[in-house]
Amino acid sequence: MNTPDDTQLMAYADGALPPEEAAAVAAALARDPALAERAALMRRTRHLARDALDAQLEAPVPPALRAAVEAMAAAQKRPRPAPPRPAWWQRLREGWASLALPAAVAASVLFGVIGYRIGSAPGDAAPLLAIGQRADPALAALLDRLPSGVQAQAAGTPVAMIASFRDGAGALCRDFSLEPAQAPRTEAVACRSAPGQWELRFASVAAEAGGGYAPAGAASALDAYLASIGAVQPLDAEAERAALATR
Amino acid sequence: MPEDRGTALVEALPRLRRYALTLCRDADTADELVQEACARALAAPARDDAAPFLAWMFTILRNLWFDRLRRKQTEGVVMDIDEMIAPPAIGGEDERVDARRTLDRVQQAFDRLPDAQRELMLLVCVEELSYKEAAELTDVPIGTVMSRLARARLRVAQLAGLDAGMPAGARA
Repeated sequence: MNTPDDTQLMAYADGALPPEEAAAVAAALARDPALAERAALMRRTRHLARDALDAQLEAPVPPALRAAVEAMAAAQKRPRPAPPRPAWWQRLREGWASLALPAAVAASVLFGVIGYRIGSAPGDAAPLLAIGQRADPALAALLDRLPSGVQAQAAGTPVAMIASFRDGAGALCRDFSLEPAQAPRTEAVACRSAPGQWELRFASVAAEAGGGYAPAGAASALDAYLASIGAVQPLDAEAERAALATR
Repeated sequence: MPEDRGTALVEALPRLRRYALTLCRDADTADELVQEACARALAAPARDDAAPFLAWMFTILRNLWFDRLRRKQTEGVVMDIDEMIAPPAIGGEDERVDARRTLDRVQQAFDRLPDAQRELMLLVCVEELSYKEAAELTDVPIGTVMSRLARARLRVAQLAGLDAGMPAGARA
């Protein structure tokens, strides 16, 4: 190769050359100490520039700027709909959400046991909802029968069926919410693993925001979940009836 | 789950300020730009999460700055860089003092670079963008990015006295 020029020396120093070209530059550098020094200078300026400018990162961010950005972020309460979010899902849920959700809510997604029991005396019985476990029989009975768009009671707690769909593996799943009077509204997804058996796959609890920063809403977490399991369209009423009747 | 843009922005503030300062060389203007860029980012629709967040923010910041430049045709930008630089660490040993001095000289040399060179040096050497990413962000051909950047680095080396004893004209 001809004597490498400055851009080649730089690209070599930055490790940005394809292997063959890098080998050719390396051979040229081995022959010419002045070239090697120039390449080393390229490497050195990179490291020094970085060290010098990293000092700026330690300068404190002016509190006014930080506060302004935080305030703008907090004002952005409603998360923007995620791209995969299907409009139909929102419509289906809005009806129920308006019953129970105050204007400003914060939500947290639960990956464990939901912290309240439904219709059971304190201290006894397993929780009605526990992720990865089977739904309580009272709830399972509703999941088996109750058409979407209808509300009923499971062990004294109002349950609203929102929609039915098939996940990516073809299992019948239902999106529903629990609307207890004394606890936050919970939206959940259960899928049927065997006749009469429903497994809780997802749940998120909506709670009133205690002021301050509100994390992404329950709705967007659910959307992300639905997208992740390949939920496509909800079943229409007839398809839902047929799917529920099939055991 | 969608990205939490507010938190990401607050975390990115120091780096956004550094880039803004590299562009405009005035601490107050830099902070205005950063705040405006954050407002734009928060109002923007959901984006492809696969694209690096910082590069996306840099694009917003950069566009704001050049819009502003075009509108005002700048009546002389105030240099106010010292304010942003953290005070030098106190080094007891000579070596450390030397290292600190070298960094100060590099910083000063960097500050004296032409605008386009200064920006590229920050993007590639400091923020570690690839030549290609820097070319996309600054909207110039990759060949131009590389030749400008090579010039910038040799210039910094020269201004900061790193090239003592370098034979001149090793260029092809």
